[in-house]
Amino acid sequence: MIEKYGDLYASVFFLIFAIFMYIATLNFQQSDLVVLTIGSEFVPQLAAGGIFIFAFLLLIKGIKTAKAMNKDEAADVQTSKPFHKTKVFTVGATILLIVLYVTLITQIGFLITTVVYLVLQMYVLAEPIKRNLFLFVSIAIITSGSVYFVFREFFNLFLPSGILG
Amino acid sequence: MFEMVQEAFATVFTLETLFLIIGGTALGLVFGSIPGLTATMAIAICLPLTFGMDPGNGMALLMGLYIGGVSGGLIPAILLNIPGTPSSVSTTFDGYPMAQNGDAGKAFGFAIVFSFLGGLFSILILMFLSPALADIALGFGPFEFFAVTIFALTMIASLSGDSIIRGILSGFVGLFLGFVGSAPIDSYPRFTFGFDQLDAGFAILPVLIGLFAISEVLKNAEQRGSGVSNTKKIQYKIKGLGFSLAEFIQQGWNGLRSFVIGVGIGILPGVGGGTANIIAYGTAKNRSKYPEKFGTGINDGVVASEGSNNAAIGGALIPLIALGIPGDTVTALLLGGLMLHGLNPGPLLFEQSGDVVYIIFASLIIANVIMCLFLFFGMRMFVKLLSIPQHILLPIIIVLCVVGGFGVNNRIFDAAALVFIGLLGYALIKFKFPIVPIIIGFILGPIAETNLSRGLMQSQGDFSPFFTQPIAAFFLLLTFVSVGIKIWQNFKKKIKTDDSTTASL
Amino acid sequence: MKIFKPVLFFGFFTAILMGCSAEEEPVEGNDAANEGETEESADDSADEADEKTNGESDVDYPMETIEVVVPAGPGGDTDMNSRNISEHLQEELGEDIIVRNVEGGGGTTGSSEILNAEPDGHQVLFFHNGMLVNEILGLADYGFRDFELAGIPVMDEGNGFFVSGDSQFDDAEDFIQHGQEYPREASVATEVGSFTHVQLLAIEDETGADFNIVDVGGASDKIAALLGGQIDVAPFQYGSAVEYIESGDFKTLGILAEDSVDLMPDVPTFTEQGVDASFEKFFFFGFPPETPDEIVTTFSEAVETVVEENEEYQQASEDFYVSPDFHDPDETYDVMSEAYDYYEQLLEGVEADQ
Repeated sequence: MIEKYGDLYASVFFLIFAIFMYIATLNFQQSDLVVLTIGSEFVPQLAAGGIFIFAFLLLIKGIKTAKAMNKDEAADVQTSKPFHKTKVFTVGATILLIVLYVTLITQIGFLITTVVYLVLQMYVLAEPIKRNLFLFVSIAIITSGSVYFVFREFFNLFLPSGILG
Repeated sequence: MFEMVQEAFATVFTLETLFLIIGGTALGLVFGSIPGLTATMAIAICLPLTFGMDPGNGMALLMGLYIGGVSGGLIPAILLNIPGTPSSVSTTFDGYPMAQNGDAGKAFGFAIVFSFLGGLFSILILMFLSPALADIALGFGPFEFFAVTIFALTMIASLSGDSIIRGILSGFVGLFLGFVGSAPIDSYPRFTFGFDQLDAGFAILPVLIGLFAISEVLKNAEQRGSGVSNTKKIQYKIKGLGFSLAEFIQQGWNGLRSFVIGVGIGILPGVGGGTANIIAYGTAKNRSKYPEKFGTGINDGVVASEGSNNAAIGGALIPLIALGIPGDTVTALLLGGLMLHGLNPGPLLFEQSGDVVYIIFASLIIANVIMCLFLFFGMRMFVKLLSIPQHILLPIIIVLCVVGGFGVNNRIFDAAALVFIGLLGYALIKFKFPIVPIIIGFILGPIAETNLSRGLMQSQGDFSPFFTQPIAAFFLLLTFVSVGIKIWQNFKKKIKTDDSTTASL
Repeated sequence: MKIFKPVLFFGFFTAILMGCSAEEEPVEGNDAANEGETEESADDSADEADEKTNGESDVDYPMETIEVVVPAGPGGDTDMNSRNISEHLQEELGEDIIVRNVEGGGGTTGSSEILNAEPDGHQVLFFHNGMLVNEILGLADYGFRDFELAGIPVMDEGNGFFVSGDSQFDDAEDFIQHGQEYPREASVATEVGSFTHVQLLAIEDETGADFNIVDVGGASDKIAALLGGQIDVAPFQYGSAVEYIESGDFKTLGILAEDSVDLMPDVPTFTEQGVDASFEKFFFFGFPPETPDEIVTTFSEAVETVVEENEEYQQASEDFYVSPDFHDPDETYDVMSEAYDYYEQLLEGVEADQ
């Protein structure tokens, strides 16, 4: 899918993005203190224009590619290759885990969140035969504890202590 | 001067001072090599420790940290495709492919030797030419800075991979990320959508580490179940320095050019080491007879990147030592360190505290040697890192990245930004957008914009100085020429391919 | 040679020592000393923290490392002044104090972090006049009145204007006259919307001179711009210019002080040259809103002791050309509101002009 329509999707996204970006620049607060030849909206507007132009070029290119691929039967065979369930699951779960990790870290605290995150993440990334929960849990506890301790004691970096603090 | 140097070395060669340099370099290497932790952080954390020391010892420790911190970044860049610090972004381009091809030893050899030589080169320049070079740097006003950054932005074209259009769009994404936060002159927020936490914008670390580390982990996640790479065992053979004398001599010119670029970029306040390696890499690729081999694991790429980033150290110290002007966060911290020791950085530093200045030089040289030794003897150990299964190593790296993001300003916001930018980067990679232009746009965009505004304030709205000031005019001309050549080359290539397609039809 | 603390062991002893020092120097509102057993008091402190919201005045403070948030980069004058006082303050308070730089947004990032911080006295803001300007310009939707002010330890009266050694201007009069006769010709460096910008506006307002005000960046950028001849006149603190004056690179036009300053007796003031504009840069401590008074008092008294009795601190401050000059929380409030009104009037004057 991405092979064939990638540039089309991306260019449409960037076209819309450029428009929103331009609209957002219209509300920038202006300083009364100084007279600026170019205000704070100038360069962002220029950039929005640039994105629009290049997204448009990409759109043209994307249409060409899609057409070329439609003609080419071989490409269709390639895009219809079996949908990889494991891959989607692993990537999706990894994204979810990382996002949850940084969201919960302040409330629950670094120590606990990190242990839980590490164990789950290792479990998700490992091939089923290599899943060794005992090993994962021990590594997670050692990593989380030593990172917390080293940063707090040696480097004065106070990681969130959450419910333990 | 010779006496001063001799005296400085005598002072440095005491047990305590040597210990501080060695410890500093080692700690710097650790910080540099862990993605998410940087030289800046190492120095910021250790700065208070130097208050109780005498100025010479304090500086010795800080110099060790600085050299170690910048050099350590090459380890994860080569082994994991994740730059440890902004200074080793372009080390990943060829260093990682080399390691994948089984040439990790050679990649390390080149990276270490040219880090060392680049460092040494810049330290010598710092010792002998700093007053003259500092004067040249002072000639850089807003017009010149604008022109130089615009020229550097054209590197996007060289580092875009197979599609310049996608590369440029990536560059714009970087520009956009750079817009977020306070506007350059009047400081009113832009694109913050009412979130106070965005007022300060994105820091370089979350952007960089997010783009490289998060996407690397997700790429790894993709491979699970497909039976690739995760189980792939790569043999790393390491013999001596990993390369022959002939190969070394081949890199001579490329290395020297990269050193000069490193020092030159390092001197310019605000541009700094994070950009030097990218510009040196881009230049090496542009000037090369075989640009298409760049990115496939070629010695030239590693040499350009690692030679220039260490050379930027001496460059960045030039305005600090000669004039008391810090060019980036690291040198600003060093400036604070000097002042708290009762030294007065400024034009009189050489005269008033010459002893400490020479101790700084001596420490830099020794730290440079120690860095080289640590890395050389550690090489085999680093490679062992890879025998740790990826599914264990990568999650730990994510944790360290989050800690590093948190450490930027001691707030979770930067860690969250890191994840957000990482996901954005992953999405872009999926749509075949290159991520390096994002970094170039992000670092250089704000510098270009700020200096454009400042220049126009200075000239009261007149654009002409951008074209009439000699240095500015020179770089803008260079920009037009290099863009012109690029377009022409592409045009030629297109005609060729069109010809060949018509022929095949 | 102490590089890293041997943690566990040392930490235990610090706890004991902390208890001891509290016993030796009892502070108001701190009855830890009465509890006798030093080790116990350290243990109890955690429980007391939970109870403090009940309104009881027995606050055991400080109980852990205090973090001073500096909303400016490392190496600048705010950073230097905060580190100088913090180093001596930790002896006084018996707890470690770490300085943390939170850059960005002209100081708003660091300030708003303290505004929303836990009001337990373990995080405190160290900032200067910039906070007033941010509020007036609308860069921050809060102001100094929202913080629990804990005093001013140090004042910087060396807010000067400088020119390069070979400049045509020799004193403030030359400079002002030029600005009156040739409006917008002489370029003066500033950072738009910062304290130095306000100073410039005051001079323009007072004399009717008109300068080309150019944004250059922070203090070190201004030094570079003046050294490189990018601009004609630059404002910075006398302390950061003194090296360049000695070397002959810079000349002083004058400082914005009412009377000549003891630390720099030979430096001319703008006032004595007929320009009635005077500014003092103050550095203050501010706690998050609703921090208990006892904590603020304990802290502020410790600051007072350091500023007034610690000779080492005084010497270090004078080396930076800043005057150790303690103001208690009430005086701090007065200093700040007076300055606020003055700046507001100046800034509104400009906004009306354009």
